[in-house]
Amino acid sequence: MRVARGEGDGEGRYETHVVPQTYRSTVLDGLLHIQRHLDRTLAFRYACRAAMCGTCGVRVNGVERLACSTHLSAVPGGDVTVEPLRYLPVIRDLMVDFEPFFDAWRAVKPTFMPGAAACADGSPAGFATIGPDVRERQVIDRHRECISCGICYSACDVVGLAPSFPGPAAITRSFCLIMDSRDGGREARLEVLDREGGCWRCHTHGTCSELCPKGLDPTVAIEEVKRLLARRTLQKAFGGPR
Amino acid sequence: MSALLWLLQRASGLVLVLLVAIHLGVQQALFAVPLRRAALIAVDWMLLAAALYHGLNGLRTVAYDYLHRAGAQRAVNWALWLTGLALFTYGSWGLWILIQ
Amino acid sequence: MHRLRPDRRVMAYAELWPTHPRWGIGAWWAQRITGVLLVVYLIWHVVTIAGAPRHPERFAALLRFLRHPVLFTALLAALAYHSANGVRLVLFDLGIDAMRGRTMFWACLVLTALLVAAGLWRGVLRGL
Repeated sequence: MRVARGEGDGEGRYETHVVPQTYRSTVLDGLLHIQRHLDRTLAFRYACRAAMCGTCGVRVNGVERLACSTHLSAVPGGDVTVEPLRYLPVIRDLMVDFEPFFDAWRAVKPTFMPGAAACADGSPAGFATIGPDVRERQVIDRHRECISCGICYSACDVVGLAPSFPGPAAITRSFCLIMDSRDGGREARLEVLDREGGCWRCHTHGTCSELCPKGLDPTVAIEEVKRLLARRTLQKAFGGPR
Repeated sequence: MSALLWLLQRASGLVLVLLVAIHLGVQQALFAVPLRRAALIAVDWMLLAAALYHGLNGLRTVAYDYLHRAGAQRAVNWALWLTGLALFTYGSWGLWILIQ
Repeated sequence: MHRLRPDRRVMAYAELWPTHPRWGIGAWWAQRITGVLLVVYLIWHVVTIAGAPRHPERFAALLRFLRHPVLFTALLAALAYHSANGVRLVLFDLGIDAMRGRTMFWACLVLTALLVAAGLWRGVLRGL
């Protein structure tokens, strides 16, 4: 295993170690072996080891992955190179500073803002009744279970190009709330996304959706936002539903 | 605004596929029967508008990807709109000459 | 090549193959490069045709370009790819959601090849 080392502001370097591999060894197992037996100074993050928490995001042979759920045996070529996620400042070795990721997250108003009194089915205020087969529920469920691992953010070329682009995770989160009929912040969120530096910088590469470890589809979520914004703009221009 | 530009980029793209096919397919018939000729000049004129919009808006998108200061973006925006209008005028004049 | 869409059952066994999903980005770069080249050609084309009566030598230069087999094929390929990929993108915009399947992109490449072939055949027929 070839691991990227170094402090964030210095010159990076790569160190190669040999780690044991069983049929179930993952990249995280390799990193733990290095840290415990070969070099105690290696810095990396992990927590659940079960692809649930989103802490161990790294790049394996250039591709963003969760270290805990990438088998060493499955990496083509035999040699495994582990590097930190892109576009986030490196604190040390494989640990990156997630502040820019969460700054982008905060910028799109990701928290639920209770809306007006009516519920999705027109019933009066109180408990919202949104059944599992209602369309908004199905749409939101498709994109809801983000573990903010940063993989999509790192995989997105536009994040590297445009500093103001919120990134796939943030826009997907905002989209879930936009689609939520109980939420009252729809207009505010659409305003944030309808900027040149907002969702319009997305060019539908699709890498975010390909690499999401939870199977989310930010490409489609961002596309839905663009469609909503297009309809909204036409409505404002011509009045009436479109 | 951005949403409208995005929509028009898609619409002009589709229109272009059709118009370019006609333009490449039958352009040599331009100087045949007058009615056909007038129709083809109309097609060419629409093609000019759609192609200039689509192409220069595409350049705008590329520029906005790399330029992030509002001032630079506005400057590119104006430059492209002016270029587009100038080329459209020149091209229309060229087509007008052709009708004469 | 495995598609990297993990479903919950697979996640439990953590058997995911790392791949390099570059086709989306490659398609985009090709769209951008062909687009810029086509805009450059468009401006040259418009200026030359509109100014043809007064500058016949520029018009002759344009015709020479179009009669050159390699350059004409390159222009045709750029136009064909940009159109085919553009149609794929519009289909995605309209909700025909095969973006992540490489199928649509392969279909787009096949269409590009067909368009180039058709264009060349037509060009040969017309004696270019």
